[in-house]
Amino acid sequence: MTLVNVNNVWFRYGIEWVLEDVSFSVGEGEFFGIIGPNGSGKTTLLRIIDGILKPNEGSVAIDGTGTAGMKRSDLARVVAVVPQETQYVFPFTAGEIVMMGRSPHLGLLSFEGANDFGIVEKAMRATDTLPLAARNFDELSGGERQRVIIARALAQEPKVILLDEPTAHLDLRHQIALTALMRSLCRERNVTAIAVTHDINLASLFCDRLMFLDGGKVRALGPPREVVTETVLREVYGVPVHVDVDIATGLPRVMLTARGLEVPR
Amino acid sequence: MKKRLLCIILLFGSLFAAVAVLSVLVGAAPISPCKILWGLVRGWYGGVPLIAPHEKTILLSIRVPRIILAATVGAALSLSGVVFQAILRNPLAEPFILGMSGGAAVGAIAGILIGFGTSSVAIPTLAFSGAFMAVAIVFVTGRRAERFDATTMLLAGVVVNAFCSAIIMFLISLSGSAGLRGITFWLMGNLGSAAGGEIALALLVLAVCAGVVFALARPLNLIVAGEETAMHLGIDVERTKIILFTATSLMTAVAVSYAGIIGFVGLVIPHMTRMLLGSDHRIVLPASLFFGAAFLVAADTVARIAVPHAELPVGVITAFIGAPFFVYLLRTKVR
Repeated sequence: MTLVNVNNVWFRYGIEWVLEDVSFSVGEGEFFGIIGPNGSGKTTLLRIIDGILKPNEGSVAIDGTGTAGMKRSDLARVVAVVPQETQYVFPFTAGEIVMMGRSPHLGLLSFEGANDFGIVEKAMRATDTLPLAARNFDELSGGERQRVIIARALAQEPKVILLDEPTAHLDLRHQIALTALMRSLCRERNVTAIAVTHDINLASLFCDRLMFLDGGKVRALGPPREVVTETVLREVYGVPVHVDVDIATGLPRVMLTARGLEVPR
Repeated sequence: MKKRLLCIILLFGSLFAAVAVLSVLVGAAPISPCKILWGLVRGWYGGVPLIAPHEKTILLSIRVPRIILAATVGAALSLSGVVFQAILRNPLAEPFILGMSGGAAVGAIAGILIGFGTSSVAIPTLAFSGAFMAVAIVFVTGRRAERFDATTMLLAGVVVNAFCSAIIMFLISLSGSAGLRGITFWLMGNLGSAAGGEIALALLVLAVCAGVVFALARPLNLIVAGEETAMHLGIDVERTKIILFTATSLMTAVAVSYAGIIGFVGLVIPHMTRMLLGSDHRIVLPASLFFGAAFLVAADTVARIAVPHAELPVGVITAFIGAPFFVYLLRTKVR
């Protein structure tokens, strides 16, 4: 069943088109990756899906409802966002931050109840952050912070979680752990995730489908096996790469190659 | 959460009450504190109070109104400090850095020089207009592409303050020595000159604005995390900010216009409250309301009695406490 529908979206800052006629749909419980060079419009696309930017043409619908003209509080019950990095000027504990995810479900003057504490505890258990609940957020490591932010996104009980390069500041082990966590959340809780990333190998390993964006246009869309090819990558990035198949998983694996590159020695 | 909030309100409320009662008991006029307390008890039970009529006048029409004004101003300044620091996401923001002091001072001093002298209507009105005008300039400058830019606003505030200082210096150099004492007193803060009706008005404005700010405490927690994050969590950030800016500017401008320039309250109190209680604004806001009120009442009491037969401007006391604290903050908290 499709959950997110992006229909013929056009968008520009000023006069230059950043997105040109982008259309795709993401199914319920799917882990969907968006890949592309810097400036290809990936983050702009996420910001259109989460309603911060309005498309010049076209529309976005989530679960059959158009997001245009939706109130922020209504949208926040459907879409949650995990940014690249989160910084707080004033100290909050990890538990307080996850509880902020309940905000769109609370009235202006109401306090969080037992139900909200239950949901927060479940979200923190799922992301293995419960032992961090009383710690100050800015004392946590990069990987721990991202897990806390994912817990906050889960506490929002959204239908879709958007992730903007969530592993950009993490080391190899945490990159894998975090992406695996998102994948298992998609499987076990039937959450839909749309992640923007630069890491093609990681995305091939964990995403159900990948979309290559280049110059604001969709260049390729499909399961990693079909779209992660030397032809696509050369076309999108303009650099020679070597793609082979990981024997253990049967998934494509991208390697840099010096073939056709001039490397000063 | 509810329980914690109640405990905090009780705790800080009673701190304020204790400070206020102490402040009523001491002062320049030699009225024995025991006599006042005993008089209160006797009066309560319908007995003949021991306090002489002129002493009663000192208590009820000088000390008590002054304490109420000090509490109102202290509460307004510290609430505004909390809100500005949160919205601008800058631990050094406070109402005065955004140009309010400068604007209000220009208004008030112009009034004094034109010859309204000690008029209790004209001076506050002019000060209020000046403060609001300064804030308006800061807001208009800081609003880029339908958004408030924190850095631009802080810089605009610095510029407005500097420009206002120049105007003040210009006005002072034109003035004779007669106006000078009034000007100096106003510039350093003075809680002794407001009348009953004005105090009631200030209290009313504080009550309304504080109510608005309390209602937006949870959105404020989310805005601290960044405006886009707050939007992702369902907050209409721009609308929330406009409402908060209006409420805090209004109460600060009223406070400044009656009390003159009292610096550092909006900086010291929010930070001390956060150090004690964490960052949740649902707790920090009510706590700093009472804490700020208690602080300024205490500072004003010191200003009244520190030097015999004279009165210090209360701004001197708050600056003596606030400036070293500011340096401490810069050394330890700000990266």
